[in-house]
Formats: sequence, C-alpha cells, structure tokens
Amino acid sequence: MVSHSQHPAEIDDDALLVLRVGEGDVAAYRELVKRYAAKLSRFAERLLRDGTEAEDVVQETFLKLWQRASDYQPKARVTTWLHRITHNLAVDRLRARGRTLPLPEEEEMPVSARQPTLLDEKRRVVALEAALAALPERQATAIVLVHLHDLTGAEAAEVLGVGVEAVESLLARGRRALKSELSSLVKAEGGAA
Amino acid sequence: MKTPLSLERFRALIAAYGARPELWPEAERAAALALRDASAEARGLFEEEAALDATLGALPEPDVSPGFLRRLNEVPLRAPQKRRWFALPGMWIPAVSWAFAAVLGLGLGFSTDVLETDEADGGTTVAAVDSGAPSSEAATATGEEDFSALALDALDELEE
Repeated sequence: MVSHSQHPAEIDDDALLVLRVGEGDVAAYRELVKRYAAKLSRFAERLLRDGTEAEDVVQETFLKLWQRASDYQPKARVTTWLHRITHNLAVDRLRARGRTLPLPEEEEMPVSARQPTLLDEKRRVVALEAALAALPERQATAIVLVHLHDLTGAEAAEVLGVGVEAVESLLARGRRALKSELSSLVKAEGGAA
Repeated sequence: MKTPLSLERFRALIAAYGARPELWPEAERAAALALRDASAEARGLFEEEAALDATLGALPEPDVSPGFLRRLNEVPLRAPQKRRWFALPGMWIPAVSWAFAAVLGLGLGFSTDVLETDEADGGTTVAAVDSGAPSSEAATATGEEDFSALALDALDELEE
C-alpha cells in the first residue's frame, strides 16, 4: 500500500481569506471570487456539461462560502474545500436530472498511443481542449483537478469521494486518451502533407 | 533513508501525474526523483510525459463573463451570513456572565442561613428567617438605646 500525503494543513493565504470572510469581510470574499471563479466554473462545466447550470452551481458554491465560512476548518486546503462543495452541488443536480457520474470501471479504456511532437504549441492547445472535452466525465474531472488546478492525488480523491488508486487510474487513462488524440492529429497532418 | 522505487511504480506514477514532481505523492517523490536520475529508461518515460504537461500547462483558464462575476461579487449584498451565536465572543461572553451572576445570586439567596453585618460597625445584628426569632424582634436594642439616649440629651439641652 502506498501512502499519499496531502499538502500540510498550514494556514495559507487562502485560509486567512476564508477566516476573514467568516468575520463578514466582503473584500476577502471578493478576492476569493477572483481567485476561484474561473477554476470552479471550468470544473462545474466539466461535470455538468451545461454552462448555465455550471454558473448556478458556482454561485451556490460562493453563497456557501459567504454563509458558511465560519465553519471552515483548515484541515483541508481551501481549493479542496471549494472544489468539494462544487462537486457535491453538481452531483445533486445530476441526480435531480436522473443522472449520476459514471463509476471509473464503467468508462472505456482509451487506446494508448505515443506522444506527438510535431504540432506547434498553439495548435496543440486547441487540440488538447477538444480532446479534454471529449474525455469521459470522471477522467476529465480528475485531469482538471490535478493537472489544471494543482490538487494532489489525495485531494482529488477527497473531492471526488473515491480512493487515491481510483484517481491515479482515472488520471492515467485520461492522459493516455489525450496523448492518443494529439497523436491522431499529428498523423492526420502527416497524411495531409 | 528512502525506500527505492520500482520502475513499474515509477511508470504508474508518471502515467497518472506526469512529469511534474510536485504532483507526485510526497512519500514517493524523493525515491522517484532518484530513480529518474539513475535510470535511462525512467528518464525516457519522464521526458515522454513532459510534452503533454507543457500543453496542459498552456491551457488558458476559461473566461468568466463580467455579468457572472458581478453576480458572484453581489452575493454578500443579497445574502446575510449565517453566524453561529457561540462563535461571536462579543455577544455570548456578556450574556453568559450575566446568567452566571444571576444563578449565583439566586443560589446564595436560597441557601444562606444567616447574614450578619459587622457588629462593630453600628452594633446592629439582623437575625435570619429561620433563626427562631421573629424578624420584628430580630433587631437588638443596641441601636435603639443609643438613639434614645441622644434624644434625651438633646431635650435636656433644650430645657436648659
């Protein structure tokens, strides 16, 4: 069994802001909006695949931040706490729609491929965004949490309510799928040239 | 001393977390870095994942519309904070202090048998309710006698 440690639960800058929000500090609240609105929007949209609902969920997340900041315990990082709230709200909405997030085992295993190296960076970014949007939800969510929002594997596991091994599996399959997509693009370009 | 990491575990780590050591589990990071530096195969795997990490790192954050941002910023104006009363020291400390003082006062009032003033300070003794003597008789004559003597002295002076 491999042990996975989290970031130390020190009182970081974000945590200090949350403590100030708990005392009714609107400026601290707005600073957290500035830091997390885009990240949580991307995360919620990835889960819900609906921009309007994602905005509603993010707004609810910040409402909870404003109203419940005094409940925050700095055991987990603020980013983990906020992503967890967003995740739970999104899952509630999916349930209300009669949908649930698929379990990791239910997702298809993407084809592994070699890493492309020919595309210029800008085009790679565009291709990667398309590939990320096409990933199964759980894989895309894990990729967003760890590779775009810098949560650790353990923190992502906490947000998603699964074990660290499950997160590592989602990440590995997600990364393989992304590389495969980029590789296909390289091949297509090679064929067209 | 750190436990060496197998190439198989290194492969699994890098497949999941990519070539960003800061994302690797802290407990395995040092061993994984040592293996990367020591093994050409591990180094090859690391470099292979680095390109994907570079592209992931270049993905821009999505734009948040100004209207949505304004709605988020206005949340504190529309929603009051739900504060736990016990989380507000400025409110509960005085309340608890008054309650404690009241309980203490009532407790003392019901449980004390005798309240005495210093006899040297005026010489008056007040008997308690259950001392056996009626309250009207409780006051000793000491104070009354002093007063009567003074009154008589004053009358004598007037007569003179």
